Amino acid sequence: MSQRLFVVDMDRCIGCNACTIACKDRAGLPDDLDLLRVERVETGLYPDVDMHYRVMHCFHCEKPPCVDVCPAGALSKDDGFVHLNVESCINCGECRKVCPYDSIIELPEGFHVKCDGCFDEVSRGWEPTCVRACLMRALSFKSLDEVDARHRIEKDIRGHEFRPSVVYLH
Amino acid sequence: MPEIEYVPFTCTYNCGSRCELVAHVKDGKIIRIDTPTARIDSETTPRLVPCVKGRARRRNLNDPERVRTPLRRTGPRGSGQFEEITWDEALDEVAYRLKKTRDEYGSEALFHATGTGSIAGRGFNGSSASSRFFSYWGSVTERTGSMSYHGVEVASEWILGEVVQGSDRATLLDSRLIILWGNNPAETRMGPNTNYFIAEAREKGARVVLIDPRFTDRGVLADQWVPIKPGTDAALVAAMAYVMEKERLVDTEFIETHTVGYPDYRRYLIGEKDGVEKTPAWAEKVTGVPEDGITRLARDYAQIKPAALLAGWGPQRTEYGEQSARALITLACMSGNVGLRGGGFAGIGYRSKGIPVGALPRGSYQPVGRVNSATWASTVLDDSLDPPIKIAYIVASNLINRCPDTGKNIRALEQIDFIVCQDPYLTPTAHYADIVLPICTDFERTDLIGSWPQGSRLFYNHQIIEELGESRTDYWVFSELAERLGFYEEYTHGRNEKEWIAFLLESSELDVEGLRQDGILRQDGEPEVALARFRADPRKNPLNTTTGLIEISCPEAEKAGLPSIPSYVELKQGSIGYPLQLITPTSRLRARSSLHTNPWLQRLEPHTVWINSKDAAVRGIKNGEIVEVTSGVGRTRIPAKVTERIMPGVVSIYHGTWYQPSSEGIDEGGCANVLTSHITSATGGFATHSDWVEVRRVDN
Repeated sequence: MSQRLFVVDMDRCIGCNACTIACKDRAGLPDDLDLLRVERVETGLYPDVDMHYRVMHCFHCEKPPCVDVCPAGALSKDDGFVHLNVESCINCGECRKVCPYDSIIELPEGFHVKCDGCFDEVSRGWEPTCVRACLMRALSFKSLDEVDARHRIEKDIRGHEFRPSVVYLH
Repeated sequence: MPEIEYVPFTCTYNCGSRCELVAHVKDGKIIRIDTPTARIDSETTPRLVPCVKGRARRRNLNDPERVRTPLRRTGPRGSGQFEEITWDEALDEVAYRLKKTRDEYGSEALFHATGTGSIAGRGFNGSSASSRFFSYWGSVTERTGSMSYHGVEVASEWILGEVVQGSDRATLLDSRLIILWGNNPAETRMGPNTNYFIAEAREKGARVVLIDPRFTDRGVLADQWVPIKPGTDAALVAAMAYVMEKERLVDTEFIETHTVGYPDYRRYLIGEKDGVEKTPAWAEKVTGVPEDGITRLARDYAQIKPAALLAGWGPQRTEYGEQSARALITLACMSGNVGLRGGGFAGIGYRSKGIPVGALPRGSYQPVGRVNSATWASTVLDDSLDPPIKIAYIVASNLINRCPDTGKNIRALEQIDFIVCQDPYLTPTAHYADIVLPICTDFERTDLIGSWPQGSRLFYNHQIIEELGESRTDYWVFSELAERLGFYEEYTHGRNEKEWIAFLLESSELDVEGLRQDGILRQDGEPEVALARFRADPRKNPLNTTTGLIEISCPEAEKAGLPSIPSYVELKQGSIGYPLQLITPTSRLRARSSLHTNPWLQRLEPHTVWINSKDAAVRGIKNGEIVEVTSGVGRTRIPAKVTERIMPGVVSIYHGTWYQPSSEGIDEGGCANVLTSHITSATGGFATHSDWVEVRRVDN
């Protein structure tokens, strides 16, 4: 499968967190851990205020730094997804240090987890869980040529040098 | 390995929506909650995608606050000390008390206090089961008036002759201007696709304006935020109307052909009634909205067509809520947007057509509305009722938390001899009960569930998991009580829930197999435009008013002690001695007080009091620190959110978190209704957005 992109339409996201909880429910994580977070950014002074939300999770980078640093070979890039094999994970935390999105989580059980791109569901022809959960249809998972690049924001994304598979539209 | 079964369902909260969800079930347990996987969006019938509350429900399955057996109180009321008893012991005692009270005082001595913790069923849950039960038992005391939309309901009846609902959401796609006036669907929902259609309209070029004391989550998608002082909406309307009048932007043809009473309102606008011209400069002082902003807003609203004026219910939860609701309808008439596709006004705000299925038969007793929905406790405490309330029978209601003035609600309950509470959860209200009866949730029972503002839908909720502990349905409890009180046959006709549902469906002409299998029936037609027929021909399709037209001036208002026209009246009662106005909006993380205990939801956003940085600075309050909020009736401790997203002079606490008194009796749960008072509007409307407070640092 060729590389696909997570597309976040920031003109639509209302920060409702349905994606956060849908993802957490699927992953079966402890209460205080999430694989998908929504950053809430409030700017300006009353009454000229503004705010936006930024959906953050593993963006399955084209050049994933986590894969390069994993000493156990637990991380790999395959079929457009960065996979983490929990059986091989030695819980060293090297991947966490290099991920610009804080998207790799250490579990109390002694291994790490991350967004797997819902590859099992995607391979069944479904959309990823977070995309299906989005009431606003702000999230989508698309191939590069499907992306409307009108107002594509790339440069201000931290870690853009790793070519994260995400596009924020604004 | 056992197969995963995918069972469709919808929630039964008072949340403003009925959405399409799917439970993944394995070994009789819900292992995940999801949406349908098929893509079914089309332009007018998009998927009803569930919100964060529905998605988080798995975390409530083993809630420590779930009641698992019947309980009898052993400690003082409110102490939370109970002993477990058997169903027979509990039901025998309740039946004995019911009989004894009716014999001694009459059935009206029973206060049937229902809430909306479990709604939308066909007679087996919450008030749908209990009101049927009491219809066979006797005329009981009930609450009157809607806690949600009393003001707009009364106003709509006066001005339109009926409670006209808004247009279908899909018609927003034709809007070129959408004004969200005290309306925040990102948090209140009110239709699973309201936000979606607004975003779609915006993508097609519609401008979105948010008029609200807070820059709400909805504000993200608004092109303009107009902060306004709570309770002054009718003044902003008057100034917008003044500009439209002065600049000849009023749709005089619509006014002349479809309304009566406008000349009287016009005289008010130009100062002929009270000597005050309702200029933008006048309104700036009242509302806090800058003069030039009012002028621009008036021009935009008068000239960009069609324009949808979507008023929420917050503005009408004030001392003069009827006036703001009437004023907003009047403004829609002046711009000629009434009955127009893509225009319109919200009214009660939604269209819910439903798919008719039969109803269960009822007995002959009617309840008596002896107390107000919001302020029942004042009536209980002033000893004016004859017979007095001797039993509070509380069903699906976190009554003390949900009604204004929690402290007073508790004092009123303490006066009542016997309190029964039927609920899945040991709520703060259940702590005051003598007997708590454990009810199962909608995952644990079967029902037919109607739709909400989203077009015609009917849902079939299968029982997905076994009842937790000894919990039972409300219907089962009332069947057992009916047997003890001698009307089992009348109440049940010998049927359980599933047999009733089969009976109702058999006598319908619906695709019953499809409904059972898919969990949902859809009947989509052309999206409806409210008042379109009236607009087309007001003589042929008159309204149910005296004149058949929209009555901008109405004598009924005068009879209720209000001005005959929808003029602005200053809030009077709440402000004495307190400098900050309090609003208590709906959180996206709870449905009223339901789901409060869900740790997944709690973690998403800390529960705080919002305070503007200027108000915080003069009080030395820092972001995140615990503050004490006090009003004339109570106090609560809660972290402060120091923010630019709220107007100076206004503070905001989301309602619905559970009352949690410390050992000194100070609420530490940030329960908004600890602070709200029993102020009502002229016609008895819930007016908690008229309350004022002070916020102080807590010095340790």
